[in-house]
Amino acid sequence: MTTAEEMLALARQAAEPSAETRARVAWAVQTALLVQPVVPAPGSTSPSPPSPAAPTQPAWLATLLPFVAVGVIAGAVGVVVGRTLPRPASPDSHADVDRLRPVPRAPMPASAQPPASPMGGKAPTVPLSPVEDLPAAPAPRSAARTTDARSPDLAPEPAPDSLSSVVAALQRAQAELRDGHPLQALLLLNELDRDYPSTVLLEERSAVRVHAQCAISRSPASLAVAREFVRAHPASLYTTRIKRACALE
Amino acid sequence: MTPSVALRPEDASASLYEAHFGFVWRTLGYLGLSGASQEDAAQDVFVVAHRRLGAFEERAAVQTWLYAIARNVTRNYKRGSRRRGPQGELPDDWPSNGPTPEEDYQRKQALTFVQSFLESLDEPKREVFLLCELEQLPAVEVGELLRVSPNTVSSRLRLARVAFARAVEEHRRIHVP
Repeated sequence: MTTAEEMLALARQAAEPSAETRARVAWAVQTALLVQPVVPAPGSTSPSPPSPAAPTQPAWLATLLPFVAVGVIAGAVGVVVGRTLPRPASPDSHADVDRLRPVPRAPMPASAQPPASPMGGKAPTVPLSPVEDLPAAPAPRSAARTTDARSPDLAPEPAPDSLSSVVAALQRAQAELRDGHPLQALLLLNELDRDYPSTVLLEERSAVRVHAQCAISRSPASLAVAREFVRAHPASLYTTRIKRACALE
Repeated sequence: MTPSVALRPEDASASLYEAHFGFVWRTLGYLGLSGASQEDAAQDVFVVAHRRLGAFEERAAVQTWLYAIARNVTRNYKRGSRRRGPQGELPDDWPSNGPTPEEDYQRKQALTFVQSFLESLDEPKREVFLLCELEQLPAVEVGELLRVSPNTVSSRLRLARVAFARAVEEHRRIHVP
């Protein structure tokens, strides 16, 4: 018969988090601290500053991420992240991002394998929604034209090598998004905004960022940023895709 | 039980999750959150803690500081100011090499009972019972959190224990023929 002590002991056992839960929340905390919504107002001449609530130095998360790495992210996730993103040596140095790329989970022993159904489709805390292709980043020439048209006096013509670097980084972010790695896309965009805080391709940067955020989670914050993008860019090539990705309609 | 540790500035954030996730998670569970809400709340607690580390008073015990954050986050969730999106509640964790289904059922029943009991207490006794009895924190630390003397903590704990014993007895009387 259950005594008060036994009841407490059982409750304590039930309240313990599993390794999977620990890893899943670690992932969610990491994502929350990395996501920095940046949706510039039309005509703005520089990227919006990071949200005051968003830290700019999440390096401490490098020590948090082992929880993600060792955790058993079952079912739909199937991948883990090993490290976070230190500042790269140069804009073209993406070795750290490559280290961040999800790696296949080590095979679990058969006894530890989750059942195939009905739990096989279990959603992680940070669900990854299907990502459709965004329109390709425009070529440097058209990008420069777009920028100049937006703020002709305050947006100097970017150096060709800078512009091509921005385009290349945007294309990498889009590729990550397309391949189902929205967090990596966000990290690349954060690098891009840090290394090229100019007006070049702001709309495209914002579009990829909003799409990636909704791909990670259609949280109220993500949806607010998406709505702001749609409001600010009603005629954007990206608006329809973003509405669909963020389920705004 | 995870012992309380003093935060050092250089590794405060790093050690926070590692050392205290279990405490935060259990606390949220005892306070009545579960499933996706519990995960979202745990996330919020550590995000808030990260942002407030600069204001952390080292003289305070880490766990009572985290408890205060968790308590506030839980209140927000219970008020419905934070609601999960369309994903809904997550299913339970995967079955593993842990308890059998029967043991798991007993544990969850016990947790539900404890949650209900805590809900029935007034807040001062609830906090003391959760922190001293379930988490076995020292009365001195709990007294600092609640800004009362250790004697007051002990007094509240004694009353809460009596109430818990009665509740368990009542539970047995009803559920055991």
